Amino acid sequence: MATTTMATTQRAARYYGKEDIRIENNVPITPCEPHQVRIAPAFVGICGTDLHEFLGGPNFSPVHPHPITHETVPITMGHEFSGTITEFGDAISRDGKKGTGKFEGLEVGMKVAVQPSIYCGECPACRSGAENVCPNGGFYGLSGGGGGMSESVCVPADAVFPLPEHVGLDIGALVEPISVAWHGFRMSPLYNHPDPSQTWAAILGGGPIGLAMILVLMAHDVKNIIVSEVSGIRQKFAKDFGAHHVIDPRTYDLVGISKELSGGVGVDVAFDCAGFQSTLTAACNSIRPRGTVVNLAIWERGVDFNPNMLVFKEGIYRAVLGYQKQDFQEVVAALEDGSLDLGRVKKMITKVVNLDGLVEGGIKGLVGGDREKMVKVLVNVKE
Amino acid sequence: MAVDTMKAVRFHGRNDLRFEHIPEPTCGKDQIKVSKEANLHEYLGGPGICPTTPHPITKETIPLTFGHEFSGTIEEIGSDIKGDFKVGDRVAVQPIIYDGTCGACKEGLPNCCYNNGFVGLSGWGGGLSEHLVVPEYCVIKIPDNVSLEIAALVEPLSVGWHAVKISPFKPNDYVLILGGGPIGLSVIQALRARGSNCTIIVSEVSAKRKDYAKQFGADHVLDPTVDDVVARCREIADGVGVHEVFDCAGVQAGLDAAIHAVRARGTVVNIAVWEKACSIHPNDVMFKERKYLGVATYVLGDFKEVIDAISEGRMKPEAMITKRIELEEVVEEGFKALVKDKDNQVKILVKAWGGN
Repeated sequence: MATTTMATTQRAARYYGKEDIRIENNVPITPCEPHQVRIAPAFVGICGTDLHEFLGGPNFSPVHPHPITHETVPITMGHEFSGTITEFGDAISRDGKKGTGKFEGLEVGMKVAVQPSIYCGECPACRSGAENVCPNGGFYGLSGGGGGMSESVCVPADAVFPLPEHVGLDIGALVEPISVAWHGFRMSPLYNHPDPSQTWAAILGGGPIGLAMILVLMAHDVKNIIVSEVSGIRQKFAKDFGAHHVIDPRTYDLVGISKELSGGVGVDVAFDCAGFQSTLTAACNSIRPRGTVVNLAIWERGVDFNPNMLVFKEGIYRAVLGYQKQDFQEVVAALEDGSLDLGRVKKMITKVVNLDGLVEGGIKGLVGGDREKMVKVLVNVKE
Repeated sequence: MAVDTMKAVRFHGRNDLRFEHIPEPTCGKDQIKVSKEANLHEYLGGPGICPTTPHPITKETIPLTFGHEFSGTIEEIGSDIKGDFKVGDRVAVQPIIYDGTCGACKEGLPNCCYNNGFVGLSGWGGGLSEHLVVPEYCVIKIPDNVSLEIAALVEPLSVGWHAVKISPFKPNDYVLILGGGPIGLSVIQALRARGSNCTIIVSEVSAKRKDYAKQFGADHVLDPTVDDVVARCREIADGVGVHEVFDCAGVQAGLDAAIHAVRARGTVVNIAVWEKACSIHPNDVMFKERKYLGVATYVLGDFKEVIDAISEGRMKPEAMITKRIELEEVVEEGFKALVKDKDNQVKILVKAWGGN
């Protein structure tokens, strides 16, 4: 579809560095490359990574040219986003070859969720089907290439996932964080388990990813979910989201309770969505023989670790990162068929701000006194 | 009636092993007596953790007869034993003690039993004696072409075998083994016995153990005090690192190297029992979606598979025997040699019947 006359600049949230986010009106609009589609973003989630960049960055945002995007800060923010397709890149590539058919099924005007992954596609990790651990990888909205907190961003056509009719664009912005949990689940032995209803899972940490994990486990018919969380408000969220047992680790011993509840053996899988010394140790000690600990947390420092915790029960500790296309596809499919409970998914949205409210209403709300009341704050970029 | 006595080496406490005469055990209805008329052999491992309060299953405390890697000949069979055994059968003894009732045992993982123990460490006698009685499940017959000496190597070989078996190892993988001691060598043999074309890299400091590693089939032997193990592994393995690391050393520096030497989605398999906690940075595991897997001894079935591999010639572990001594010499010659002459010894064989 040919481009008609369009504005050449747009309004976007730009990350410059620590405590320096600016809403600018003159950010260039990039051309839509042959393999890309242009998206008019609708809703964008504020992620913990965004908070870390604001409070202490740049950590993730490139200060040297990113190997793939070649950009450095300032970069446009927003990697958890939904939007509407407004334009297709030319289906005939620049070197005259015909397009690959990746545009099939997409139409202008469609509402979509966006997988913001950036990867090289050539390294051994990418070639082995683990593009999420590409050493040159990054994310739209963190590494350059534009982001969701803008009026216009171009992403590869195979990175957009049409949302079902009954799923709103606000929910569409949650597909990314839910995909993080989905990926962690998919890398665990509960995925494709013959009878998930008989399994036990522990979730350590009831933040956004821990809560999303509850929904993912329920979508897979896991009926025994124990959540360990310190904050009273988050404990309540965990219950509302459907956790079967919610404990405060300061009062109750997760290891003993896991063993007792699961018939004396321990949980099949413990998902560490917190990333503290205490959660790692409790996770390793609460799994059953040959059970698995899946770490989804990003850590600030190294920790004490005693391999004997895993040796005597032949346990597995694995850590997962981000998500892959399959995770987005499966999350969207689960929203469509209702296995991911839309009512509960919607409860993840605890606040919506507009672009001007990003720092004061959004980011500062997530790091201030009310932060425990917040699961996901969305930015409505069209407002 | 006077109780017969027998020779035994017993553990009384740290650095306190004694050669003694103790009462000879009698064979219960559900037990098999393995004894002196043939041989009992012992290859000494490092001192284990012997109970100072009654062990939950054996109810015994120190002093305890030592020796958990051994073979022998059946001397007497309890009246309730149903299995196909006869007096004179040559056997390897699988020394796991488990309760059979805990969550792990119910899962078929007696090696992870919450109350587990070992014959020769936790009670029920041990290999360093002239006789002992054990339950039927501990006794595994060996074919005619496997000697009793070799049969005493089945236990350590089963540790390596089990680790390889439950790891994600595939025949063409690149593998790094940390430590060229008995367990490291048993991992090499297990990898080779499984008919694989894998590339084996061993990291080991001792010159003698490096030689053993090569002899048993390592393709590359690195010295962590000289070589950059992580860089060399990447260089050897497609530029990206090995598929699996088997940690048979259990030291911080080794673990650090292991995590970085393994490729994206690769696995570090820990066999070592650690004396103290170490540290990891979970992000190092996360950014390549690596896995860390603990393995514990062996399960029922591993002994048989190892014995078959030896009988069929897929495994030739003879060279692991580096010294042969008499039962009377265990304290002086055996343990002290292992402590003082560690680099030159792999397995020391004890003729537990003390000569003729």
